[in-house]
Amino acid sequence: MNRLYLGVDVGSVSTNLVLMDENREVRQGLYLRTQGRPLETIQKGLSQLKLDGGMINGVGTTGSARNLAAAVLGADVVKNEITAHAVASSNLVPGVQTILEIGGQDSKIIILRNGVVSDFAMNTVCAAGTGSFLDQQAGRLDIEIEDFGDIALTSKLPVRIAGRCSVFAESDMIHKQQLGHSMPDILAGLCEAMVRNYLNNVGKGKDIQAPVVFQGGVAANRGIRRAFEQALGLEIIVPEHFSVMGAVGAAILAQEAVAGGKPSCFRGLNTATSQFIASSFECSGCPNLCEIVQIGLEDNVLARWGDRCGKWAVQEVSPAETETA
Amino acid sequence: MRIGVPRGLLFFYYYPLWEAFFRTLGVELVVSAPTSRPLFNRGVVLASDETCLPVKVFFGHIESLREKQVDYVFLPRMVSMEKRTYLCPKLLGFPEVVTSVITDLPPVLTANFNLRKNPKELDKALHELGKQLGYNARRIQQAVEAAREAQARFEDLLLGGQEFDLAVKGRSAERNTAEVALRIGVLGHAYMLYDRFTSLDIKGKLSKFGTEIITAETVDSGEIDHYMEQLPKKMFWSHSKRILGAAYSFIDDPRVHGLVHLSCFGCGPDSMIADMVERACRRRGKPFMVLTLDEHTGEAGLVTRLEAYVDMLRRRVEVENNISAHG
Repeated sequence: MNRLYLGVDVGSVSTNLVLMDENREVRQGLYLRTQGRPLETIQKGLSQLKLDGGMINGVGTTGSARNLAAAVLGADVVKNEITAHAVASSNLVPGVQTILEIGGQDSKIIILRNGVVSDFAMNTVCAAGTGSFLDQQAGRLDIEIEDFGDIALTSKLPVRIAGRCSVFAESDMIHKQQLGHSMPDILAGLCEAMVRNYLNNVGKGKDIQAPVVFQGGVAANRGIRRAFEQALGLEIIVPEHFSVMGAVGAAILAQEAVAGGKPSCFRGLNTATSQFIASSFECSGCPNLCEIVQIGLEDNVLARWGDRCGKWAVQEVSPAETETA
Repeated sequence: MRIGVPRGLLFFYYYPLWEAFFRTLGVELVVSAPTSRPLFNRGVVLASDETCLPVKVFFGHIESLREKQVDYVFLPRMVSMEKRTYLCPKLLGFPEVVTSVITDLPPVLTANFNLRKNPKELDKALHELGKQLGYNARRIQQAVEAAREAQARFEDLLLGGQEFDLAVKGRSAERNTAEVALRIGVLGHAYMLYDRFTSLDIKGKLSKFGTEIITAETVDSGEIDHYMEQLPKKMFWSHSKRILGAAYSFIDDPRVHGLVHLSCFGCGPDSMIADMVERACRRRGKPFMVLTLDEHTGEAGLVTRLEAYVDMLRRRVEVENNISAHG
């Protein structure tokens, strides 16, 4: 039977699932919108997996809801997005030295040397220059986000747009549009502004060297890709599974975690239909009044987090116990 | 007599001095409780929007002293604590700022500490405090000596790597000297780093990842001066001077694998220091990360960055070890 590894990346905007085989080939990649309901989205993704006679041998989770996903699925490894993205890229593009990643709410740059992360940066609190902003502008201009990049590519003379702040960028765009600039020029200008903003903030002072890989949902936008190529003067590689690279990394890490015959903690595919209950309460044990989140399956509490002191931590339940329970 | 002391800002630098001074005089000190969510929230509401996070938190501490039946609230005006340096401007006008914001406060006990030109000003300021409380000069002098001694012991303990919570009580304890795989130099103001709530317990989080943390307080002042002399211009903020000097020393120290700067949103001196440290780290290929905290900072983003940073250091060390083993 085929041994498969499941990687799950639950971000603020998208939830991605990847099924990878023993040879690190991606068998299936799912890109789903999280839409504020990570638990349901994970279950929805799980029900869409096609094992084709294979068996899930290991599970890895990443993304901002990685702990939630790990509790629900029974993960063998839980890793931050930076490590997951770096692992995925260096497997798919050997020798990669720079990873540009732009997702829905965050953007990051990862510098690798000799296959090891040597530097990284993430955007700060502001979501300017991330996928959400492009989504919002596409909505305002009534174009499909999928067409955004191709329309931008037809531009002959991109207009200059302030990319420092999305509020200013929007008013700049409206101003240019009212002056009569064409849609492709405005979109291409926005692509350039976003890239400028990215390189000035996240990429500030970073030693960007080829090969450069561009991944994350925004890598689908060919306009942004061209703007990066022009700004850096380097070829930009967009890997085949660019939108689910975090999940690919999680799957690879899962494979490593169970190597040596460790049994997986995976709860099984029927998790898709289990009734998980997420609830929260305020602990009144001390003046900190921590908000505790609790994930339950029927009568069992699977995980709790949010407490500063650790008194609500749930003892880890071994996979054998959960199966018999 | 009971004197209230807010557990914030200069508390993290000079509490042993104050404690020994007032105890020797026979005054009872009442310290506000460690920062908690309600106290934090109150401080954010009270303080000006323009100021930095630790100052906001400090307002919460001061206000909490109102309910403690104290005769005075102690708010020293520490202008300069060593030759030719100043403390942060935000701290200099504190007694006035506070009394204009929180009106029904017990009387404020204050004195000017300005040692910029003359270190003897310390004794003078303490005598002034004692006199305000009605003690005679001989008694005050005893307290001054006890205070100096306690402060020196505290600084020595920190220098030796003692945990702040123990050092502030003057307690020494055997430190675990086992060799660790990863050592991280954590930079930042003491009132951020050692306030568990405000710093989101960054030190505890790093320890949980199996790393050893060293802070600027473990670097002796001679070494700091050595690095400061190489700057084209004098660093005239005392805390920034210590942080920057320690950073340069960590960069030179092969036993320190990386640096993390815990800064707070709205800190003027930090914005400059962080950049200087970053440049120096880049030149020397030392991993460096700035974490800027403010009142809205969520734990999740912080944990992600710390975890990724520690992962990175660990992999780098593994690779270096592999190379040296074969080379």
